[in-house]
Amino acid sequence: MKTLLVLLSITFLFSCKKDPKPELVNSQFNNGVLCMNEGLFQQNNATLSYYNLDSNKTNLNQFSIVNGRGLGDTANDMIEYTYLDKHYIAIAVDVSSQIEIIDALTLKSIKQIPIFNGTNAREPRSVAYHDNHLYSINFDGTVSKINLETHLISSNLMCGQNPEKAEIANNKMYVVNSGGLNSPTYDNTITIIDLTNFTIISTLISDINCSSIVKDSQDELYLISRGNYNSIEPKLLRINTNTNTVIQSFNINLTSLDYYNDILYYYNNTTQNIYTFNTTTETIDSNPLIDCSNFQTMYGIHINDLEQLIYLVDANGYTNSSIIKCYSLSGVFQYEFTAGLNTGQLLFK
Amino acid sequence: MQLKTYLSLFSCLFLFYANSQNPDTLKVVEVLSKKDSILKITVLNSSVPHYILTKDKLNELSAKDIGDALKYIPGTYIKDYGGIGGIKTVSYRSLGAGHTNVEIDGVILPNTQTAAINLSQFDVFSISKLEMSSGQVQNHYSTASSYVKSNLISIYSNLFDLPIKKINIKLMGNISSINAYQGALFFQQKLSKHLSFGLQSLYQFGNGTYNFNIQNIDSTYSAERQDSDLQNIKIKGAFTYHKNKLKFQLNSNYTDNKQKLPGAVVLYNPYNDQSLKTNTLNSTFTGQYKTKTIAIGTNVFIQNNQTIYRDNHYLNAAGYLENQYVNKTIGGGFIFNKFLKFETQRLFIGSDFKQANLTGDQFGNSPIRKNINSVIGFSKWLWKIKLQANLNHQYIYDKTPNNYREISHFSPFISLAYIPFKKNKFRIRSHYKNNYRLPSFNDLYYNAIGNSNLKAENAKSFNIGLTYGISIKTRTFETTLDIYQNNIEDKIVAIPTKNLFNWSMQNIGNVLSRGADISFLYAYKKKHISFLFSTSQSYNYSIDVTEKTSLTYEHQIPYTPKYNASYTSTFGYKKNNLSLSLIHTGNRYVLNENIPFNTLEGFIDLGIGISRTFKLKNQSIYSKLQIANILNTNYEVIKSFPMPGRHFNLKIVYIFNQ
Repeated sequence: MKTLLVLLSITFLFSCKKDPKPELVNSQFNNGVLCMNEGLFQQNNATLSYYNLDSNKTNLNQFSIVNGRGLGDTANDMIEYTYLDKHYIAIAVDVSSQIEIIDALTLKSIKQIPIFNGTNAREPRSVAYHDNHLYSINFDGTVSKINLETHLISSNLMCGQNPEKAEIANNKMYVVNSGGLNSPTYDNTITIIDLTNFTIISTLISDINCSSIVKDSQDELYLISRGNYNSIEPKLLRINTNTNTVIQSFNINLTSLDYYNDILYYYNNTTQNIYTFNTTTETIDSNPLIDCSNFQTMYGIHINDLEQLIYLVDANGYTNSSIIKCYSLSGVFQYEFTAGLNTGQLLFK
Repeated sequence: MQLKTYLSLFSCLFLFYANSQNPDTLKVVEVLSKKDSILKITVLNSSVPHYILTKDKLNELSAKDIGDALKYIPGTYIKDYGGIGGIKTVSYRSLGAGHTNVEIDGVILPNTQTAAINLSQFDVFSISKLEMSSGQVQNHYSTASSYVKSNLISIYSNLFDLPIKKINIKLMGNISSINAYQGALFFQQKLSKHLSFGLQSLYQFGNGTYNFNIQNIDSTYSAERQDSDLQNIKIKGAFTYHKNKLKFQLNSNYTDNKQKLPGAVVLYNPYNDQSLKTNTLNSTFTGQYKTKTIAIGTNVFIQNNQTIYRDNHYLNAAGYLENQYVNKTIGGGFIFNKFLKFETQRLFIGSDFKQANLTGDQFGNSPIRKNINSVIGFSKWLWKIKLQANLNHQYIYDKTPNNYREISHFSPFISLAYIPFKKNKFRIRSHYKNNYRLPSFNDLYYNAIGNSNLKAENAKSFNIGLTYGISIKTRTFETTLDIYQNNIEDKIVAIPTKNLFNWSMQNIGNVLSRGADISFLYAYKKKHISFLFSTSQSYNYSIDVTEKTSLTYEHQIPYTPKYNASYTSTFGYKKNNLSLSLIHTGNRYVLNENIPFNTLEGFIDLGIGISRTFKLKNQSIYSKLQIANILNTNYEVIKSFPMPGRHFNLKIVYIFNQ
C-alpha cells in the first residue's frame, strides 16, 4: 500500500509542472513592428505581439501583459491615429464586439467601447479615423460614429449587408458591403457616407463579396471582389470617386493588396506570387515581384511607408503562429520574425 | 495489407475447430467471480482492455450519465462542454469519437451524420451495466457492426433485463443546485410465465445556470452561465418474451429534447441566443438464442431523427440562422457463435445491413448510404495461450443525385493472451486492431465544407499488457498495466482552405500515439465494513508526425492530456456508503502548436457522496447526497466552455418489487 501511495504521489507531482509566463520587455513601443493577431473564433485569443528592431526579438501577448487582461475574441482591424496631439491605436475586436483604444506608445488601454445594439453584438470589423472621430464598421450592417472626447457612440447609420472595410476619399466614406453571411446571395454594394453630417449619399453597385479597399494618390479606389469561392472568380475593381462608378475591372485571382506610391502590391492566388500594378498607367507588371510558393498560408501584404519595406504574412494553416517576412520594395528578402495567431494588421513604429 | 494473409489466417479456424476436443483446464480462469465484481472496473481475465461499470459502481461514482462514468476508465478522455445539456464525446487513447462505437443491448446506435455519439444522452437511471472494450467485443450477441471500430461502449439497459418479481417499480427524483431537476419512472411486469412488459420514462428540466470564473490573464472573469435551459423527455416501452434458451424483445424509444445552447464564453460579450431541438424515434427488435453449443444474436431497427438548430443573433439579412436535418436509418443483422466445448472458445460469423438517408438545409444533395458490415472470427485456448482473431469487412455505397461512391475495407484483429501459472491470476495480453473511420455525411456532404473525395481515416492499434490479481481472505488487490501504440493516418480534419471563412474537410495529418494505462484496486470487506480504493493512471504521448518541416512536427496533439488520472474510494458500513471520486487531468493544448499561450491548464475535480439504503420488506429507498467539485475548481475541458463549480445533488430512488 505504501509503495502504491509513493508511486501515485510521484505521478501527481510529475504532472504539475507549469509553463513559464511571458514577460514585459518594452516599456515603450517605439522601434519595431506591432502586430495585431486575430486569434481564432471563440478562443478569446486575439493578441498584440511586438517585434523589437533593437533586439530583433518578438515579444508575444503585449496587450495582456500591459493591461492584465486579454484583448478579446477575434481582433479584426487596427489603426493608429492622433487626437489632440496624442497618439492612439484603435482596435476593432469583432466577436467581443468592442473598440479598444490604447496609448500608441505604452499600449495601455484608454477605453474599451462596447459596440452593441441592445443584447445583439454589432461586431466591429474595421475602424476608421476622420476629423476627430472614429468610425466602427460593423458586421451587423451599420457604421457607428464615436466621439473621441466622450468615447461614446454619437450615432449609427445603416449600410449594406456585412460590411468589411471602409476607405475615406473627398470627405466621403466608402463602406464595402460583402454580404458574407448571406452566402450564396452576396451583397454587391458600396455605401457612400457624407462624413460632414454623417448621412448616406448614395449606394454604388460594385461586384459581389468585396473586402479589402485602398485609395491611390488620385483619389481612386481599388478593391477586391472575392467572388463566391466557386464559379465566380475574384476581381480587382477600380472606382472613380467623382462619378462614383466602377470604371475598370481586372480578372485577377487576388486575395490581398496594399498600396504605396502609385503602386498596388497584390497577391495572385493562382500563381502564388506578389505582383505590382501601376495606378497611374493602370497596368500590371507581368513579372512577379516575390515568389510566395513556399508560404503555407498567404495572409496579407502590409507596406511600411517610412522604411519602404514590404511585409508578408504567412498564417501557417490559420492554427499556428504566423511568420512575417520582410522584403525591400524591389522584392529582396530582408528578415523574418514570428508573431501570434493569424496576424491581420501591422503598425510600424 | 493483403487479403491473402487474412485468408490463410482464417483457414486456421477449421484447424482449431477440429482440435477442440482437448480438455480445457483453464476454463476456471475465464469465469468472472460474482462476489468480487461489484465495484471493480477492470476485467482482469480479458485478453483486451475491458472495463465494466455495474449499476452499483455507477451510483458510487455519482455519475449522472455515461459520459461522467467513462471518465474513470483508464485511457478515456471525455470532451465535456459542461452544463446540463452539454455535449460529451469520448476520445480513447487519442482515437476520437469516430473510432468508438456505442451499442445498446447489442445494437449499434446509428449516427451517419456526425459519426460521434453524444454520451450525455444516456442517463444512468436507465442502464444496468456499462462496458468499454478495445479491440474486440466481449459478448456473444453483439452483431457485426460492433466489431468494426477500435473501441466499443456497450450499454445494457434496465428494460432488457428480465423482471426479478411479478411487478417491479422504481421511481427516481433528482435535484441539483445548478438548477437541474429530474424525475424518472421504471415499471416492469410479468404478463405471463414467459412474457413481460416494461415502461420507462425520464423527464429532465431546468435552466442549468451556474456561476463560473474564467481566468482573464491577471483578472478573473466571473459571471453566471446562462442560456442552458433544457427540457428533455425520454420514453421507452418494451415487450420481452423469454423461454428457456430464447429471448425476444421489441422496444420503442422516443426522445424529445429542447435546449438553449450557452455557446462559448466570449470575453466582453455575454450575449448569445442559440437553440437546439431534437426528436428521435427508435424501434428495435432483438432476438437471442443460446444453448450449450451455440449462441445466436439478431436485431432489426428503425430510427428517425430530426434536428433543428437556430441562432437568433446571426448577422445575415434574415436576422437568424435556422438549419433542419432529418436522418432516417433502418438496419438489421445477426451473429452466429459456435462454442468450442466451452463458452470461452468460439467460432463466430455475422453480418449487418444498414441504410441511412439524410435531408436538411445544409445537405442539398440528400445523401443515401448503404452499409454492410461482416465479421468472421474465433477465440481458442491453446495450452496456456488464448488466441482470438477476427476479420471485419466494411462496405459502403453512398449515393447522391449526381454521384455515387463505394468504399470497401478489410480490417483484422488479432489477440494473444498468455497465462503462465495455473493458480495465480497473472496474465500477459496483447492485441492488434486495424480500424477505418469512414467519413460521415457531415465530412462528405455538408454544404461548402464537405469534401466528397475524402478517404477513410486509418488507425492501427497495438496493445501489450499485464493483469494481476490476488485475494487473501478479506483483502483483494488487483492491477493492470497496458502499453499501447496507435498510428493514425489520413486523419479527417476540418481546415480553412481559401480563407478563414472557407473551411473544408481534408485527409491531412498523421499521428503517432504512445502511452500507458495503469490501474490499481485495493478492496477490503469484512462483515458490515467495506473499503475500496481504485485508481487509473494514463500517460498519453500523441504527436503530430505529418510533415517534418511543419511548425508542429512532433508536438502533442490538441486536447490530449499527457497525464490523466482518476481515483475512487468507498467506505461502506451496513447500508451506509461514503464515496470519493477524483479526476485529475493534466495540461492540454487547445491548438496544434505546443506554446505556453495555447495551454489549457490541468484541473482536479473531487466529488463526495453519502448514500443510505432503507429496506422494508419488498420496498427500499436509496438516497444519496452528492457534492460535486467540492474544491470549487474553475476549469474547462474545452476552451471557453467553463464547467460548474461546487454544486449539490440530492437523489432519491424508491424501489418496489412484488
